[in-house]
Amino acid sequence: MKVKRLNLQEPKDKHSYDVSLLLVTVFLCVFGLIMVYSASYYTAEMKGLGSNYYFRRQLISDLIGLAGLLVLSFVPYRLLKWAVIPAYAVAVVLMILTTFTRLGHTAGGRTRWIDLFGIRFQSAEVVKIAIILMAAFLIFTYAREYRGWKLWAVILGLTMLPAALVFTNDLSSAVIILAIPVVMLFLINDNRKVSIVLIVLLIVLFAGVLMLKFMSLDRLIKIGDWLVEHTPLHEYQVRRLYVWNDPTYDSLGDGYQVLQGLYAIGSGGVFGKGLGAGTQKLGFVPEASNDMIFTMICEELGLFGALALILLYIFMMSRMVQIANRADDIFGAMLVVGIMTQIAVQAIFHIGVVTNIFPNTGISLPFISYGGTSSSFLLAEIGIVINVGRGNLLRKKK
Amino acid sequence: MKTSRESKSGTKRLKLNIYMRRKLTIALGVVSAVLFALALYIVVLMRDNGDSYQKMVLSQQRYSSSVIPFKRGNIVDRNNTILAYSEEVYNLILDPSVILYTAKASDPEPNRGATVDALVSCFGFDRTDLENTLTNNPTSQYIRYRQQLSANEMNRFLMIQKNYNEAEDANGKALHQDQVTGVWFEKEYKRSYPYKETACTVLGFSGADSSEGHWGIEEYYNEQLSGINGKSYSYINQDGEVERVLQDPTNGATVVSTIDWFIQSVVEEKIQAYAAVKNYKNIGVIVMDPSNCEILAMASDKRFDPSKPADLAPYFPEGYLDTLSEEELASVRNQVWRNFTVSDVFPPGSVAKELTVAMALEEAVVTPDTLFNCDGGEAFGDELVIHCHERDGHGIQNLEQTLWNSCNDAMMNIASRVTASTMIRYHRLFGLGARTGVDLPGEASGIIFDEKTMSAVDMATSSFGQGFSTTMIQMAASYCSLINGGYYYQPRIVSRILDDNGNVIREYQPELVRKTVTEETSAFLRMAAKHTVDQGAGNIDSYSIGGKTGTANKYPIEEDQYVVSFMAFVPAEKPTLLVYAVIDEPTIKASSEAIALEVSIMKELLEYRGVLKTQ
Repeated sequence: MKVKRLNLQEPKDKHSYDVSLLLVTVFLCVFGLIMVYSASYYTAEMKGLGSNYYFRRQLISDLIGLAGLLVLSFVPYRLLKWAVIPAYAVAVVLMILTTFTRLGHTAGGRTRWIDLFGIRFQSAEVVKIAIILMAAFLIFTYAREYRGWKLWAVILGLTMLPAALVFTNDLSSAVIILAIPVVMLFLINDNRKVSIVLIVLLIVLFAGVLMLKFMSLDRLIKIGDWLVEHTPLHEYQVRRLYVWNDPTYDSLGDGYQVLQGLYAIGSGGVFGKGLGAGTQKLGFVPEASNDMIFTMICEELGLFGALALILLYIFMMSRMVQIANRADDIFGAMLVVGIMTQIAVQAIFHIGVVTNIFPNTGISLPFISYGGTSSSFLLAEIGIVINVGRGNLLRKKK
Repeated sequence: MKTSRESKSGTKRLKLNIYMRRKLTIALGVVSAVLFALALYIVVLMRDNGDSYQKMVLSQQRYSSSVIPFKRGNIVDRNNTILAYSEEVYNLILDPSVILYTAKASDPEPNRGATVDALVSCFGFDRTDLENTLTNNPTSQYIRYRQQLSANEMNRFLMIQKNYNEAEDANGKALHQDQVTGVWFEKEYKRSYPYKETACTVLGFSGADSSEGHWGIEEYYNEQLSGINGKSYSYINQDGEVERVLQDPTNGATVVSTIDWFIQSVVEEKIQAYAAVKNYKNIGVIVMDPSNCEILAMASDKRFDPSKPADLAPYFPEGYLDTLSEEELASVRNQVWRNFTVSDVFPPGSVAKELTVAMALEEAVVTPDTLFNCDGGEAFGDELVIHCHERDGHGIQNLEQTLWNSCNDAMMNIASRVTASTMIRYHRLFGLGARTGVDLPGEASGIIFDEKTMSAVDMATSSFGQGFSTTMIQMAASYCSLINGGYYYQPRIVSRILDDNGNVIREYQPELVRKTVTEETSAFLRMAAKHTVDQGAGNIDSYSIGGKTGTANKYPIEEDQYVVSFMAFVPAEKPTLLVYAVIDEPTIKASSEAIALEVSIMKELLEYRGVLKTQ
């Protein structure tokens, strides 16, 4: 098969510094900075912060992230094994502190940030990388001994602990955190039953989602009423489903953000209104520079810009697939797969949410959205990927 | 594990095998497929809803973008006295989302205290109410807290704000950590008329919407007075800077009237003085410069304050307006707002005799030496005798004497010397039966006879100003032409339009419409009018004044109501001032009423207009 030869053969130039991955990452960040400025200057100006306030903050986060990327791309990834347990412990402690102590910072009704040593960051981002490290390490260490259910149970069990804490305030991040080890396990899994169960589960979930999405609103409201009466679900949670089904359901309340985002996307056209020329950011789309930034891209750069961005993501992930394929060991491969999963799931969810294919939960667009923690950590993770691509540096030295 | 390799050191390394790689590739394919499916969904979204979403986006823009109102132009008199202007007032807007902004959890709402303090100390607001307003609307960005503050009040606050925010200690460091913020001012305009009722009829009024004018100059020159609203919006200009203003408003132009505020106020004062003691239906006065037909003053007895045009209570007996139905009230308002001097028609009476004489001289059917014998009336057939007001007859008179005596019989004699078509031709020449084109709204054209239907009797009555109807402005304009050498100018009330910076955008020169009579005829009429006044009525000591009275029987004749009038000009030799006073339905049905009013006005103006005494 041609495909096999193209994709599955071991590459000739096995190990090198993946400059194209570095470049596409930097490009995404610069593009992100431009979009953050375009989407936020009005809000910043209106709040009296100066029009480039968010831009400056994002620039600093990106620079910190890039520094992390460069450092990690030169630190042999095998050393990260030593970081597995500390990272996991730190993640759990951070989540406990965020959730249960006054260190947690609340914004928009959600306690997602933690103030520590004068720095504020989103603790869920730490959890993501900790889980990637933990799962990769466990798979690397025990994949041969504990095949099938056991490994699944251990890794998912360890994931559940911080994920449950994240879940209390950030449903979408919890879903991403859970998705990361599932994809990693699915990849090394050679038990056909498990694979089938997983695929069937996925299809059922997908079908259920589609059914709810395209059901008539009247029927959904009937189901919603029943749910409120007979389950612990609250009215406001159910209303989110109604909005998802029909964003005009509560166009000035729950549906406002989604609907305004759709207006932005729909009004962009093929080539958009031009960079900076969008009008929906002028106080109409809330969170225009983070959770809704893709709508701004669609409005200002149109379908063309949106497709270009999607192609960039696909290119970036194909680079990561290549790196995973030729990784020296399964620890490196799994690290790359985990990071790739995180980027893919976040990108899909973000675009899915703003186009109202998924119910509205705040998810940032990787490398683009405003958000210091997310961008710094993602950039650092790319550093790990590049390092994996360079092969086992420790072994080479010998 | 056939693709994995043994390391040279001998430890077996676990790498991705072929199945895993295949799965990974499939996973990448799935992710790509999902992303492309999302892109496809966006295409569908744009195709199905693009247009309607675009419209939504645009309509939202219009809805929320703030309008910067234009400033309506001033109306000034010929000496630049401001008769109407638009005053800037400011609405105070609170933005609680900014005032209550919290950047650090440890320091909640840092700017609230300072901002509330500044507002309370500057405007004396009730602190509790202010705090409640903020607390109850924490996410609002627009609360119109106070309206129509003066520029002074606004500037006082901006000063307090600046002083607080920029205060520095001895080391040049900011004195205050917090800021006074989240308070904006929104500009609005309020139309003001500094002289209240004075010139209300001429000015008309402009309501809350400054793009609308009603009656008078405000209506006729609405287009010039109105500007174009600006829009305020944030956008990025070509240099990538945030621009707050999308479009500046274009302010309205200043309209310079030919009205002279002093003359206008004298006229109104005298009308009110007359109105205070006499009964009548309407009073109208027009003061003109006969040399070019510019209107110097124009007033009726009806008054209102243009800044509150609907509030007529001060001008009527107490409680009277409350007894009216909505419809009656509307009709009363209309009566008050309309301009009697251009909108109402009446038979001009004896003032029209000068037109008849002018026609006769121009047609050479009489000469100044022609003699007329008045026997007290003229018979038409067996039935009808039209009497002269002097039943016993004026006897033998020359042409000038017929005007002194205001002899109807002589006028009928003159009328019999011309054809109906000639008379109508002259009426048209004098601008009767058609609008003068004066730059004021609501002008009536009056009614004159038709060639085919005009009988000998109609011609006879027309000769002394009965049977047809005219407006005051028509009579004044045609009379000006009779005494200024025969030049009929279009009457004007606005002379210039100025832009925001005082540059002349448009100048309205006196517009010569036609030549009515020759200089000889004009000179004869001036002298005849002067000699008429010299005999007593309308005379002012040591001034050379010409004039003609009018007492017209209103239709229907049976109601026995009159319009009395007096048209006077000074100096008779070369007129520079013309005053035309009309009293509609006076209690005393004699032209002496109009003469008294006219004389009281002219007396006040002679010196002001620099009219020289004769001796």
